[in-house]
Amino acid sequence: MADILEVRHLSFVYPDGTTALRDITLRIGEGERVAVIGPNGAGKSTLFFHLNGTFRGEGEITVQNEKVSNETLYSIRRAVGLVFQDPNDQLFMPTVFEDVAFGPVNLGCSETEVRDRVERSLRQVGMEGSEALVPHHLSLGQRKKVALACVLALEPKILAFDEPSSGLDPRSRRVLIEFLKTLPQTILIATHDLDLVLDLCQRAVIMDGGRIVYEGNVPDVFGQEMLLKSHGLEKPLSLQGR
Amino acid sequence: MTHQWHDAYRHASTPAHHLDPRSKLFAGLVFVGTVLCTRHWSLLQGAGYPALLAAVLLLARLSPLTLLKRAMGILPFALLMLLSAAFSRLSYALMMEVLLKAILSVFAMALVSMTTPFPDLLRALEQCRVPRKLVMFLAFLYRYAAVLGKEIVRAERGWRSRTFDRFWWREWSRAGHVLAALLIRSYERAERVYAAMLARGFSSRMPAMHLLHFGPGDAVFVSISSALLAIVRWGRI
Repeated sequence: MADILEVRHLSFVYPDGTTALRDITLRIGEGERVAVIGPNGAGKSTLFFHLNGTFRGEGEITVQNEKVSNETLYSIRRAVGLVFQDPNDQLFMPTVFEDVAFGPVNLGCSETEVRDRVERSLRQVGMEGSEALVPHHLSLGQRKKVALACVLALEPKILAFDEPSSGLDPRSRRVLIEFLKTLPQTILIATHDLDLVLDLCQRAVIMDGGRIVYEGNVPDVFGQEMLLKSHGLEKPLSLQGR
Repeated sequence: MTHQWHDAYRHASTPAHHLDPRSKLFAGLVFVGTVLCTRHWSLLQGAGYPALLAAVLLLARLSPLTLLKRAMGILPFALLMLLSAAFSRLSYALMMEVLLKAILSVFAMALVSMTTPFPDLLRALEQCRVPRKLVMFLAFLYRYAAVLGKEIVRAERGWRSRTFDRFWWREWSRAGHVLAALLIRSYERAERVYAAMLARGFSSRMPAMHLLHFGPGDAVFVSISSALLAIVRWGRI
C-alpha cells in the first residue's frame, strides 16, 4: 500500500507557550482507515489542523508526494478534507446550499459544477432537499451530516474527522458508522469512541502529551489493557469482560 | 427563547413571498424614501401610504398583529425621535408627521423582512453591489446570533442554578462575568470558524453565486408599486 500521507518530526507550540505536538512521525497508506486516540489535550485535533496546512509547525508533512508549503496549500486543501467536532464551527454560511457550495466555489468550479457537487454530496449524506434550510434550524445530527457534505463537495482523497460521533444518539451514531464504511477515501479519525474505532478502523495510533506513544493494528492496541489505562483510555465496551 | 427568535421571516406560499428579494427590497426602499420626502401631508397621502402597506399585508396573508409585534422591536426608537421632536419645539402637526413617517417606514421594512428569508435578502444586497465585506458581516451576524443566543441561555441556566441570593438585583451585578465568558467563547469560536474557512480554500475573497431570478412577475410588481406610489405622492383629490 503506497503512502498517501506522511508526517515527519512534526512539532508545534501554541502562541501561549503550550507545546501541543512533539516530534510526530506518522505514515498513512492509501485507502487506510486509521484512528488517532488519546486523552483530552493529547494533540489529536492540533495534528489534524496541520494535515491541510491550517496550522504550520516545525517538521514536514507530505500529502500525495507533495510537501505542505505556501505554494502547495491550494492542492493540499483540495486533497485533505477536515470535518470539525462542532458543526457550528464549520457551517458558517446562512443556508445549507451556500455552506456546501463554499468550498467548490473557492476551488473555482463553474456554477453548473458547483450545483452538481452540492446536489451530489447532500444526496450522499442523505440531506437532499435541505438546500434552502438555515443551519441553526437543523438538529445536531443533521448539522453533522451537512458538515460532512461540505467536505465531500471538495472531493478530497483524505478525510480527517475530529470526534465524529460526539453528541450523537445511538441510532445516528450507527448510521454514521455505516456511512463511513462506504467511503472510499483514506480516513483518519480522532475520537474517544473506541467502539467506533473497533468497528471502522484497521490501525490505531495512541497520542498522549503531544507524542505518539504507540501505534498498531486495532486488535493489538485494544488487547493491551495496561497501555490503554496508562493513557487515560479503556477497552471498548464491546470487548470488556472478554 | 427559541432558536428562531431573530428570524423575522414568516413562511407562506403567496405572491409576495415568491417575488425576487431585489424587487421587494427596491419597492420597500422606494416607499421609505418617498414617505420621508413627503412634506405637508394631504388626505390622499395620509390614507394612501397606509393603504399601500395594507395591500401588501393582504397579499402576503399576514395578520396586522404579527406585523405590529415584529415592528415593536424598532418602534421605541420612533418614540425617541418623537421625544427629540418635542424638545425641538416642533408644531403638533409636524411631530405627528415625524411619527407617522417613522411608523410607516418601520412597517414597510418589517413587511420586506417578513416575506423574504434573510439569506435571500443578503443575496439581494450582494447583487445590488453592497460591499461584499458588509454582506459577509451581516451573514455571520445572522448565523451566529442564533448560536450565541443558545450559549446565553445555557450560561444563564448555569448561573441561575448557582444563584442563592434572595435579591436578584445583587446577582445581576455579577452578570459581567457571564458576559466576559461569552465574549471569550465567541472569540475562540471565531478562530475555529476562520480555520474552517481556510480548510475549504478561503483566501480573503468571498466567492459569489447568482442564485436569484428576476422574472416578469417582479417587473410587474416593481412597475405597479412604483406607479401607485407616484399616484399617492403626487396625486390630487
